[in-house]
Amino acid sequence: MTSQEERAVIERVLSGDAEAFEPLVREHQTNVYRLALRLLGNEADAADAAQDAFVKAYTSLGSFRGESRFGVWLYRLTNNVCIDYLRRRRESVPLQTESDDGEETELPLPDERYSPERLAERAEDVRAVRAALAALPPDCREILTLREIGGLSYEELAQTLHLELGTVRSRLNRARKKLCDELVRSGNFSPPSPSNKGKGGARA
Amino acid sequence: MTDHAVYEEQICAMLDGELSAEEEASLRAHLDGCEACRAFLAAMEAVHGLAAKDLPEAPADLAETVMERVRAQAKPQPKKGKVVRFPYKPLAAAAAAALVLWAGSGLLGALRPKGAMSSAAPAAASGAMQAYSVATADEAAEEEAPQASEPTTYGTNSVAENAGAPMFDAAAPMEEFARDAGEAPTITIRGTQILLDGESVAPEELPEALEAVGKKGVHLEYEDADAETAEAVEALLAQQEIPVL
Repeated sequence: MTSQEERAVIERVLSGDAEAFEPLVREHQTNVYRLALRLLGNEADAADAAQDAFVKAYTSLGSFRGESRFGVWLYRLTNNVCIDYLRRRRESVPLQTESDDGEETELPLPDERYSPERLAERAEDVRAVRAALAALPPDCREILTLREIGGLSYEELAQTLHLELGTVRSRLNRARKKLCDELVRSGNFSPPSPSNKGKGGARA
Repeated sequence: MTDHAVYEEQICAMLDGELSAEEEASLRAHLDGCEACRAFLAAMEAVHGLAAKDLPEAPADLAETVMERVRAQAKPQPKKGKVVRFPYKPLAAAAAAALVLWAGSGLLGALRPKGAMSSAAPAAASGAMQAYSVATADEAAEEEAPQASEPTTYGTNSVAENAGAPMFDAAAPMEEFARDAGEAPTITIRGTQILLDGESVAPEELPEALEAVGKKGVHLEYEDADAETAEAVEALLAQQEIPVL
């Protein structure tokens, strides 16, 4: 959808056509879901958060001023929804890990349970990358995720996260360096030699 | 920040497509002569995009579930600029009592300069006001009504004349209370401003104003509404159990 098409859809929704919202959902659901998945660490929470983000976007659509791209506004909203989820998770740390009926309750920090079906052939690599990302400090994981999944520009990242441009650059750099370090540490990454740029790297 | 930290950031930015042609040319010139930076570039290229790799698609039912919730929203999205004014309706008792206090203080203000007035005057004044407020809205708009129900302790014309002035002003706030008897009011959120039937309401006044509305419900409109303000209003409505129509 071009940004003009998006604007037209938004106008329709704002004038009362609820159904017009669906194409916007379909357009952005993959990125919204993946963002939530990276930030929250499990599919159930990500699905819930993605839903909440879209519904919130619908009810506050009137406040989208078109100064940023709609996707950026939406991913910012998604990020905030996920931050709330993480905050609530921290605040409701269960004393025991099982509730009365024996079901496992969730662990407070990024929870790395993935359903078995999701594991691809290169399962080790996927898991290694996921683990490395989970090991990042939250601010690094957040900025890296918004940049690579949300596709936000540095300027958009600065606005979304209320940072100076210089901080965006240094934080992204730090995030990627830490990712490298983490992958090397876990034995899943052999830094390529400088003269052979194409060789080596993560087995992913 | 050391030189190489700057280069590192530039290398990152280059991979993200955030360097100008000039900056990139300058960086490449440096890379030609710096093995450490070339190694760094290689490592960055290897991890670039990893955060987005191997991620599943959104659940197949996500869009449909969202649309179900969207349809269930009490009100579709903001209609622009619709503010409805209600016709006069008979005053409800609570509204009348409030009106008495309002107009009564106005009347007392008018009476104060006349030092000759005894303490009986304010009481009588509110008595006149009460008689006034029981009348229907249409009647109250006329100056004659208050004079007709004037208690006999008043002999002077000046009181009656004074009674006329604030009475007339009382017609304005009556619109505010008229809503209580009939249709549901409209709350409009315009930016960070809150309007109740077109009249601006300070956020701290809103809970009180909503109490007058009762559980009948409100229409809610968004005109370029600020998200935080909208959320706060919605939360308040939910808290007071006022349905959004």
